[in-house]
Amino acid sequence: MGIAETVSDGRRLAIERPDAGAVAAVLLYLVADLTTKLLGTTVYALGFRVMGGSLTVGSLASMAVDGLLVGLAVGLAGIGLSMTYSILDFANFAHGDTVTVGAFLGWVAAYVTANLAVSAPLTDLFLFNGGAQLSASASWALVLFGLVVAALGTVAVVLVVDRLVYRPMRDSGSISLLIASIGVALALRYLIAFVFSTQTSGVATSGARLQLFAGVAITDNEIALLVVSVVLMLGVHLLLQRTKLGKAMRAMADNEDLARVTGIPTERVVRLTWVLGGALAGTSGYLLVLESGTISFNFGWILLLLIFAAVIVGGIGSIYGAMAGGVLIGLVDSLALIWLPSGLTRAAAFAVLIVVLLLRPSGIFGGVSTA
Amino acid sequence: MNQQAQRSADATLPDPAESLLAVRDLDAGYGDLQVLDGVDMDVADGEYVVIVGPNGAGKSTVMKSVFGLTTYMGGTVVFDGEDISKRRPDEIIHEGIGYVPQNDNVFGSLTVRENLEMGAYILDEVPEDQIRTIYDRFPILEERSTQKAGTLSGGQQQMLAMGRALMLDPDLLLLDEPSAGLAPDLVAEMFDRIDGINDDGTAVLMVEQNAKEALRRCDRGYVLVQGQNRYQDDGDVLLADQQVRQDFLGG
Repeated sequence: MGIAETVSDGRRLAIERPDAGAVAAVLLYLVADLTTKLLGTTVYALGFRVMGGSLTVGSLASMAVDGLLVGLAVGLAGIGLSMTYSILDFANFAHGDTVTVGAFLGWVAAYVTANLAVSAPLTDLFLFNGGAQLSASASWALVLFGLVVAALGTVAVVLVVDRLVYRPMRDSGSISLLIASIGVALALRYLIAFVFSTQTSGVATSGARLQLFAGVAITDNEIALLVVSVVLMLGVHLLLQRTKLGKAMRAMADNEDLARVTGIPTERVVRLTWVLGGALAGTSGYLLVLESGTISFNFGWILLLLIFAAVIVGGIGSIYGAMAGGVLIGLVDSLALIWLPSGLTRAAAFAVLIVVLLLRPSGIFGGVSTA
Repeated sequence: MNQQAQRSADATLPDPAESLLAVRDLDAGYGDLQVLDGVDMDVADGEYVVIVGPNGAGKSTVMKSVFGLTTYMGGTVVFDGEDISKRRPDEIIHEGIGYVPQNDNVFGSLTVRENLEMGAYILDEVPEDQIRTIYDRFPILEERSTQKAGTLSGGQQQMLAMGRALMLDPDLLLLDEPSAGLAPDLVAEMFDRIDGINDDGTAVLMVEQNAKEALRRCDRGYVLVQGQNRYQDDGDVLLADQQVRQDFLGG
């Protein structure tokens, strides 16, 4: 009965919801194609290759691991974006550059401290010149130190920006705030470019590789990213579900007017939102640099579109949506390499965004709002 | 003042020190728009007072002004001997006033229990005994305590909103149209519950579209027209008054 029922279900789906049917057909083709590729066979029809090729389980798994790692970091950064959207009511375009700020603050601290004994002048070290690169296993204490500096430093920057820019215009509309945030984004980005110039610098190198299975390896830096982001996501979950201030954040995201008449100190909740969002963004930027090894003044800005995609796919305003959306977008961005040239994988990530929105306009977790 | 309801202009107002809530000559509105024009109102300790009047008379605005949610333009609001006319809502909560807005009055994505906890946010610890009291008053809330408030029915949400406002055991409860949007068979139940809250010693100031029923239940009523006091008297006196019936209660 199973197959016949599934087929008739599929037929009904294709008729009642042609859009969902089309997506299902494409997915089915991709899965079939992937299977034939993994089996190493090729299917021809009318002289054209319709599916198949060759792909090892190992490289598929490697891509999945890569996608998962980037996805976790994107999700981590997305939490802050989603929270600012639901609690402060605007799309914060400066969030990507906040990620960059965190990365630079953390890496300057870690890099300079690590190379203090080296004879290179401090100014060179400050600009990531003339020192040795770090890795999570060889210099874990310094990497951890940099992580803490990234989180705390970003919080400080974000609070100053809020005090100077957003707080005076708290009651303005979300469009004014959005435009102000674009200004903040430009200011942060070119302040970094002014100090560190626009070159890309290498700061981290993988110290150890751990063989998992079938030729899949994971580096110490990647393990650090994995562990830290999962722990932080768990921490955010506990904060929101268990603590009084966390519950107040969810309450305020839900209904700001009611929060005010209930006696929730809304300004304090706003500050906590910045603290949490800033710390996570800074940490995420720092970890992404640890994973990729290089740092440049605009990597956060480039990442911002991906973060937005993750948050919107997950359902904007939902922090669980941001986490899930980040992982989904990261996986798609990485796995698309199986079918597309590397320059086009970003496009695949956004195609998924569009498809999700067509099928479920409020996002995966939209309407289940969880803060 | 036998048959004819007493005119507010002729009334001698009680000494504010003797009322729990004393509103005197209050002007208030939203931004530049003035809605209330010299409103006087009193609620004694434990009293049940209802405000009725046509649409746009400023009934809800009176309550919002007491709670510090409107633009203050003149006059005084004295609660328990203290002038609260220029205080913010989060300060007024500390004084012992609870407010239930008309719409969107629960946190839909929080659980029932979390909604109640938010009601006591200003306390250092969650007052378990008060939650117990509210569960006893509204047993359905205990049954649904882990459910998201957004999944409750309209009547249950209204109970939750009241429960939330009662978390600090206020001396005065402000209710903005508690029966709005409820199915007719639930309206009587809602009024019974409000009677119960009042019987336990909490003063109630309520705006209600269901004017006849509200006046039948309350101690005193005010008729507000165009932001000004028109009539005030005991509920049944207003109900019996020919003029009031004809003009405001639909005959």
